[in-house]
Amino acid sequence: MESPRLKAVALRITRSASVAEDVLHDVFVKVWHDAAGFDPTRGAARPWLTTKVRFRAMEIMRRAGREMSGMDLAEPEDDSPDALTQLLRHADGRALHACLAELDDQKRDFIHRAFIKGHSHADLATETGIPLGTVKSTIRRSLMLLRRCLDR
Amino acid sequence: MSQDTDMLAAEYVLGLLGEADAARVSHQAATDKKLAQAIAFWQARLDPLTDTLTPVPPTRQLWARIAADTQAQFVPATAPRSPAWRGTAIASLLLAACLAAFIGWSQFFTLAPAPTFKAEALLAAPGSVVASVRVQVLRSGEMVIVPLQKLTASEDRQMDLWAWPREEKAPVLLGAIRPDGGARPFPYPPREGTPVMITADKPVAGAPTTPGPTLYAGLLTVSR
Repeated sequence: MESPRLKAVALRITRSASVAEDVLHDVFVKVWHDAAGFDPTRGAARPWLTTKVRFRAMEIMRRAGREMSGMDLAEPEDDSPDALTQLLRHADGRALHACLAELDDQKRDFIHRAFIKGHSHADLATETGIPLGTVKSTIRRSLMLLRRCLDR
Repeated sequence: MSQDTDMLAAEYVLGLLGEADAARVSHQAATDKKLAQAIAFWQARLDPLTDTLTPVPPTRQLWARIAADTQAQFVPATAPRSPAWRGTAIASLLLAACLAAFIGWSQFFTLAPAPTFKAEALLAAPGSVVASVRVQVLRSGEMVIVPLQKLTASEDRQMDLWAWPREEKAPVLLGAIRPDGGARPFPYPPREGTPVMITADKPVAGAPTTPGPTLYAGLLTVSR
């Protein structure tokens, strides 16, 4: 089932079960009305849907500001170091796992926080106390290393 | 592809760009094939990260809201123009599978408390998320085709029903179907995920050996 995975994606970004469900609602209804927006020549459906959910969740959070009042408590986070070992279950995940393992802890952490938690450059700079310019250049270097590894 | 294009795509997919920059990239990708390919690359390669999250089932209220906002929105399906049935069919099957799983189709369509069928598939036109045909495998081994809207093929084509059971190396023809559906034997065990499709085939002497362009496609879901 895709829906529990997609709700988990929305939940991790919004940190609110009700907002996460709003995200899924908005995305599905939009997809329903705008089916032509999916172009199978430009990629598979699963990552396309994931992106729609992530972007909608990030859009809501950024427009509302990260500290939304009345936010209900999300599920406990599973950011243990073992979480990435879940990638080993599938072939695509194994390639990504191997490439993430080549990054140092900070680079890997930035990629993970951006993708899973929807953190922007500024969020990462604020949370880590690292200057914004350094965050941007670190992420760009991380992505270049990832690309080189994923192309191998 | 330039490294700048690739990095722009990666930052877009990660969600690092501001709202205005992200909108600009999205707009540009509609006409810039290399940028679109780079975006698809990063989406696909980073997507497994979502498998590290603990799945959280949506509430029943969510399905009710979605149903309320989408019901009676069936739109006419049109036949694909490309003869490249295989790529289109696989892509549409994947989309249908994702979306069917996403919305929990059975909550809309299996209203009876105890299904009288063994399995069913909801077939949608390539690129559409709207089901056009319901196909059910009955306990008798018969496959019943129920149009959810008017089924059409161009005048020089006939509509054929195909399935691709896992014991077969290629899709197998189950027979021609009428615009109002009908029934056909389904001589295979109904298994979860079996592709089922309706194609527009040129009438030939005997029977077609390969499917024509896909009109509607979906995957079998076994009833519990």
